[in-house]
Amino acid sequence: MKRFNPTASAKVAIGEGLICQHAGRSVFKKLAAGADLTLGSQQLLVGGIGSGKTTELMLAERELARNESMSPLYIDVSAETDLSTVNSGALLASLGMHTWRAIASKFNPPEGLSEVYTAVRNAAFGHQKQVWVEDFPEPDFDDYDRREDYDESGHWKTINVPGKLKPPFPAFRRDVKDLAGLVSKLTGFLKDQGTELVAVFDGLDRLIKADQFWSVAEQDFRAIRPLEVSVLAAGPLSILYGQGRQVKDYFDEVHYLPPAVADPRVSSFLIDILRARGADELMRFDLMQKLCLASGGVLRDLISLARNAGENAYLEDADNIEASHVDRAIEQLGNSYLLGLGTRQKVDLRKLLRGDGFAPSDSTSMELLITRRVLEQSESRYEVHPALATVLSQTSNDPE
Amino acid sequence: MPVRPWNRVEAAKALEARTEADLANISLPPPHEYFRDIRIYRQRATDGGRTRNGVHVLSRHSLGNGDTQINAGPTIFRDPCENCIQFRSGAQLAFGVTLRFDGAQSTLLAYRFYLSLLPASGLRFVRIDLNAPKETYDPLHMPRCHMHPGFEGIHMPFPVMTPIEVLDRIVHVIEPHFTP
Amino acid sequence: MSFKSAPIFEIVRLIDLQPPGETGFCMLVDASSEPRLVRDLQEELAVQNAGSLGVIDVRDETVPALVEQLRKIQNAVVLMHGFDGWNEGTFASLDVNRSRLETGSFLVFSVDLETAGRFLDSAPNIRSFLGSNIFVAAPDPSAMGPEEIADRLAQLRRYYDLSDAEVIQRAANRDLPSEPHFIEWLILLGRSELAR
Repeated sequence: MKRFNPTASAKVAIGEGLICQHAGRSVFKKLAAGADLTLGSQQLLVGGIGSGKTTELMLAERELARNESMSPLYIDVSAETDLSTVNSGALLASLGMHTWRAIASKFNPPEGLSEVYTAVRNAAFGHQKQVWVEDFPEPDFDDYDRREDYDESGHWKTINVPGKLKPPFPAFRRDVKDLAGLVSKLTGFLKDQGTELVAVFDGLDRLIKADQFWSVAEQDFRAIRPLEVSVLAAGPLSILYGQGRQVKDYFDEVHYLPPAVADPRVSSFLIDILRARGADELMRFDLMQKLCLASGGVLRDLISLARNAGENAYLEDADNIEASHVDRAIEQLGNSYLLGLGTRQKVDLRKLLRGDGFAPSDSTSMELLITRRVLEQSESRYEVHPALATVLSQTSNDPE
Repeated sequence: MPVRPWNRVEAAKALEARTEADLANISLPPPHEYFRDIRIYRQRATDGGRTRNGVHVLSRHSLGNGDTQINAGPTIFRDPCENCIQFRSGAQLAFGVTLRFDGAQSTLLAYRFYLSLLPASGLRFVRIDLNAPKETYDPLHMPRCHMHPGFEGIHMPFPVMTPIEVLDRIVHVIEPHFTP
Repeated sequence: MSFKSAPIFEIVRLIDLQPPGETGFCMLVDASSEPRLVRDLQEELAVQNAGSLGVIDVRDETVPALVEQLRKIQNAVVLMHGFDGWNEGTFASLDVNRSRLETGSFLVFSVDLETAGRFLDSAPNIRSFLGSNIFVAAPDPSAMGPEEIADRLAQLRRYYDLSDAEVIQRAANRDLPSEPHFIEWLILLGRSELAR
């Protein structure tokens, strides 16, 4: 059961060999190759929630680390700061902190560089400074000359200057250029030592709305360009549907991670994932197939379904996972997607189920896509999440 | 050599008195808490692979006089027994425990543990009983707490224990003895 | 729509399955009072030796303050309640900070049905992590005394102005509202099969 933990970190899953690579779907090799071949390039990995973006980024980091001259830095920005209250500068500050750690772990940095690090740290976490506060405010000398005996008494006061990474505080616009200048000294040091940095920024995909993503990332990515540090970043699905911005104008490459092919008759990818976690010791092959189809190709949902089926069997003291346990797990997942759905959304979903088509052209339909109630099968083909479809058909007679 | 005088009836009475004294020293928590303890014990035994089913065959209900009955399986065992505790060996266990709650703690009134064994075991069953309190028992032929080693007519005196202790003896000592 | 109803002892069994040190999530859509839920969870965790329970009332907390409390808390299981006072923006902020919830404890979000909908709609990342781990905390009649069961049934009858027979009939016709109270009602009547 431990191997079916949908909340386990990707790092743990990779370390325990629970990950499957599939040539037609995995993008980490392309990400790594792109960062290696074109230094300073910026690549974006986009996909829905639970599609495996973090795993791909971590695999890319591992791939890059095989190259002795490359130093990939995996940075989960969402774990380091409160992204919901931050705008520009946070990525640069994080990059600066991680670059310093890389320098300090491998080299003996000169003192001047330590001072640069202190400045970056202050920018990241804030600092205190002393300011002179006058006891009596200076009078307005417009009408007469300043008296020689004017008393300039006052006192020093300690104030806190907030940083980029220390929540909570209101939005603080800082000169990103100054911060980039400091960070460039750190990255430049590594370059001089023959080490090429690759910044792997994870967590930005949690900003599910495109404008949130841009408010955090736009200035920082632009500021990182001159540093010639390659960038790999995760982005939310909504970015591909954003109005007014062409995401390809901002990144050298945009990689899209679609839902996996759910039908095991077409692709063995999902079955391989279940097998890697020992599912065939717990259930029949046809039940594994049923889980794959019910997941809609959303990797986290597949793991969650398998775990839940196992839990259902455990609670019944069953020796194996049976069909009833799988059916109940699918229904439970479907119900969790059903929770919170409005009337209009249910109507749209039932239309899609009837084959009427779907277009993420307004906020209601975009929300269905972002929350994975609707899954994209191709650029213009969409389907209702299979687990949700199962329970929607059961609730057709429910009063709204 | 003279034989020291010894009376089996008096010895049985003395043993019965010790049983009653030991029973008086057994103090159990309120019925719903003890039910929970038994449930956890059952769950762990199943998780550990000793038994095939755990908590779902347990039930608790009130008797007409306010006493509490905790059961697993039927009062009178009959094969096949769907709601008995199933061992991996094929053996089956049914039990019932009667408690009386005085507002602070529970007194153990009676229990019955019936372990049904496979034919190849050599014994059909082992049953451990604590009979309900009564004015008079025949301490020699039917002591209040006794064990039936596969025969209804034989009542071997058995030390009185808490129900979970009896359960543990059956699960980890008695049943494994008969497991091939 | 109906969620899996599970008595507290089963929920604790599931919590116990989580590997130690790995964060787990579940949502309890619970109609009962918080004190009773906390008490039942504490007792069951103690009996099953599954760790201690920490409780956080999030009603007046900001997300950063909650994250900081979770970072410091040492308990194996942490129950959070009071989400009905949160707005959609706060849920969205918690969602963005989902990584910072990974403290190694098992996190239980206790909400009512309406709050559950608002929460999950505004927090799709957390919804993805919860997966199917959304339960209605069902009563455990085997652990309730007959008076307790009778009192609770009387309460439900008065509140909804329905008889037991009417509730059973409506459940059989699949005509019962999806409020957790009705699942509890059926279980107390010994008709849990109608609650599926």
